[in-house]
Amino acid sequence: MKPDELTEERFTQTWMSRPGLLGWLAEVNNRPLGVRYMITSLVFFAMAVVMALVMRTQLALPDNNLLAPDTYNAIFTMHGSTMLYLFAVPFVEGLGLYLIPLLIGARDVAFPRLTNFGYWMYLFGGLIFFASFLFGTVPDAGWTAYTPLSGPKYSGPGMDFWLLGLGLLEIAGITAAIEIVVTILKFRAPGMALANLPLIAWTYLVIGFMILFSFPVLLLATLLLELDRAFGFQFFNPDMGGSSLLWQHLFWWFGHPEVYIIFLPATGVISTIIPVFARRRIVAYPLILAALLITGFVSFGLWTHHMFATGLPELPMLFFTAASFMVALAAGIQIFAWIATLWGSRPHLGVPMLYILAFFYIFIQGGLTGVMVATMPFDWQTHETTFVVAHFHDVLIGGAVLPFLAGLHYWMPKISGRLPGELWDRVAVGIIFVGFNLTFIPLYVAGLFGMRRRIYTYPEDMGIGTFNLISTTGSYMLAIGFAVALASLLWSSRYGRPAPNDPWQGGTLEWSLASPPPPYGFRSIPVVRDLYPLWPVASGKPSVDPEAEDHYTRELNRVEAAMDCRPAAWRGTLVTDGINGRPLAVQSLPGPTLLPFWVAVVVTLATVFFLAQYYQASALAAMVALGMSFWWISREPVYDREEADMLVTRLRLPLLTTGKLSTGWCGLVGFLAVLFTVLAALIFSYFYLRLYSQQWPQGDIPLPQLGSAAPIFALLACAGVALLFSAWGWRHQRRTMLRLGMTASILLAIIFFCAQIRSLAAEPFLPSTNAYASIFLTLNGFVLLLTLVGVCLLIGTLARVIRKKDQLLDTRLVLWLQNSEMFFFFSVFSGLCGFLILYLVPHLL
Amino acid sequence: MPGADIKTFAPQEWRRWFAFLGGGFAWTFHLLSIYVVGEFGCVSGMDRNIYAGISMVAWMILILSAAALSIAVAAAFVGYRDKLHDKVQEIFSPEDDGGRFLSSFGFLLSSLFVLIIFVETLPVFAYLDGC
Repeated sequence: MKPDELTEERFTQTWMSRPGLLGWLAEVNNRPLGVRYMITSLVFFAMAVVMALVMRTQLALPDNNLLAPDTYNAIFTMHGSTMLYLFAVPFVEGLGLYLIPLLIGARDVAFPRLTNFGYWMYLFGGLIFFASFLFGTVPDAGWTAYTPLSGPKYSGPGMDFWLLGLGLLEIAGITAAIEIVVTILKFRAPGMALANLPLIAWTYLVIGFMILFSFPVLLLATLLLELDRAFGFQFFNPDMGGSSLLWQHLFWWFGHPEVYIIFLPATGVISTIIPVFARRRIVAYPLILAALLITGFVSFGLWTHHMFATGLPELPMLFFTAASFMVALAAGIQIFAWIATLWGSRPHLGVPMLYILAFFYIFIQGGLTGVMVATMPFDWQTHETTFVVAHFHDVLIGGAVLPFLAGLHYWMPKISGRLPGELWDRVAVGIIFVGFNLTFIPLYVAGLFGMRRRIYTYPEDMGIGTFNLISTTGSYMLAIGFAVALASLLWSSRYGRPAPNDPWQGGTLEWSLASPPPPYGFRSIPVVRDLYPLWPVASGKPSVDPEAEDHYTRELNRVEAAMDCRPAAWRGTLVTDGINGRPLAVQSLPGPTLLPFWVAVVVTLATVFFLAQYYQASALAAMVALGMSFWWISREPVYDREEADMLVTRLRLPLLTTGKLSTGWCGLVGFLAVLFTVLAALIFSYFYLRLYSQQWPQGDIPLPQLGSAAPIFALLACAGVALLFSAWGWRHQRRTMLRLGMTASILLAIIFFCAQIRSLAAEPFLPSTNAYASIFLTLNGFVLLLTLVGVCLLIGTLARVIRKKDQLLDTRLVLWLQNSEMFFFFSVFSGLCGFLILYLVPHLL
Repeated sequence: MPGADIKTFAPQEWRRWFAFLGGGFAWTFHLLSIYVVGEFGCVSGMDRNIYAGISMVAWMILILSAAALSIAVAAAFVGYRDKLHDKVQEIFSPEDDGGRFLSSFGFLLSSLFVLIIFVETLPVFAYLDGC
């Protein structure tokens, strides 16, 4: 064997998945995990479709008694929850995890172990959700779980399965978001500036940020509701100063962006497929991108339009009507850009294109009815009717499921290595299109006739029996259409003709690889200087300085050549600059490991113990999971020193980086964004409860004692100042200052922690006393938890500083110092916010 | 020479990011702040305080809207200026494709946010004297 062949074989071996069950559990490669996400989500999709059919059968005839009211409640709750939490979002994430590295020229995602952890959290969360069937206590408060219906008074233990299962799913969603954002910003191919980022990658970048600022709010809301249910907290109990509307605010802060988190990647799929089938570049790339970003921002300004019927003041609600119109404007921009791309072309009407044509009709129908329900007077008439059901199915099935089916068909050759079929898929598109419209157009009409949603039957004299019968017939057609489409894809993935690299003559990077791609993805990391790197370069590119161009091109080509089959002995990829894609460093990525799987198992155990009301065991398992997480982040990256040195010399780039350049730093910023969102939602909850309370603090609780709290929180502030000195010490290589500052910071934080626990224990109320007591103790608990984690990180860092006493500038140690400092400063910031709001504000407002 | 200044001018990275994200952040600040003022002001009865025929709540919303519009306009302006500078240069550095894109695209995006903020402010004119 020649040396080159040896290197290539070693390189392939390095990236191979491990065989057997243990290898399956320890899988970290993005593509197998992405496919696993998608398959699991499609299984849940099939279950949700079956539940939909059961519901529609019940509603086919007036006064039908096929299902009891309670069973109907349980079925519609599980249908909606499964579709939104277990199918739509995980499918989006799975597609992203599979595609993003291929689209941007990376060998894997930024945190491969986190991908594995996220998948297990998703699967275990879903199993907890469905375990409620085994215990005969299925959740029945709707997918929105409005309080007080979902509270302890009106719902059984099924809601605990719902809330805790959802908690695990949210964690999975957040991990995938951090993964996707950091991968897109740090792992792009050399030369791939933001201007050349494919639109689908842009959609994932946008939804990644949206998840970071929306999912944590639902995570918090589910936690608060579970505290109400399990320990008698009073957040959502109006009798004890809580607010039912608080749940709606928190839920819809998550819920409305979630619709766009599902929809935007679908637009990315469309923006990818239309140019390929029209054989021309996308028209108005900047306008589509502007529409994407506007949707990303403005989707956070729509939550109250779900609450028009709750009696909130009119003026603020009108702002949300205006925001809803603006989102329609953004959607319109995209639609017109796609039409413009198709205009004058002679598109090939392959199966993906047929799905997209069906999308145009159904989505525009859903968009227009969306504008209708965004106006308050119309919404007051149709609120809680099947008109709204038809509208959001138009948006979610037409706007997302159809493009995803198009995408599955389009990328099937790449995923499975086999060409998809044509005949049965075309038949499926037809059945789906007819079945869909038969199902939902009658529901618009029935809704206008006053048919309520979420009610198990309706009287005959309402005159809506025919509409419902047509709708039920359509729903069976729709289900058959989905079954044919998925069965055909499944059959083709096994028995279809072998696919060439690029069966569609696509322009994006994934089509340059074999079908299916090898485990490492890209042998070398390709240079990308155009939006469609596989198509001829567009005319009208700006003229560049030829000398600088030559120099830059040579530099990029050198990097590409040096990375060919390198590194061979360990998993390595290139880190590039977030704006211009300029090569910055080589990063080592972890290989297969069972650690994330075990952490996920322990977290699930903590959840199961909580469900079973073994709270001490649950707390113990949570502590073990936290400890395992520290072990996880403490593990050193694996690389071969000799090969690393050689690579660094050839590339003229460093191995591993620190600060803004490193993926670890970026990942922590993402995590802090999640914590910041939780903190902001807690502060909002505090003020919301305060606003609707006649007296604050509520009941007989006295005003918090500013005088005794101030010295305690001053300790935390001093811990922050001590850490500032420590930071100054390591930046100036003053070892003593570094150690002293860090030690002082740890000690002060521990004293703060103990003193505050003591102070809270002495308070004359319990969290169950009233809503004020609940929010007061919860916000304090959040601050204490952050402080505890911050102290643990500082202790770990100090231990490393002492161990590596002569290597203060060791890259890994610097990263530890930077990250633990950043986390601790955030916990100090949260503590000071907590102090101002909990101890100072009640004296002022 | 003025020409030489233009050629060597390279907008700083923060200007590029401000042009790109300034409009969006201005909108976020705008919607959240006018919602808080709207709901908290209307519920607490702040709208009963009238100054020059306009309620306190409406005044606050108008001031916040003016502030948000200023930020979005500033972001669009910075994007426009940098785009002009980029355009005036006879030749480009190939290494800053992304930076140039942030400025020119930021101009477009922030301008659209100016429009959105303006439209979202309109409802207050129907509620100048109270909620």
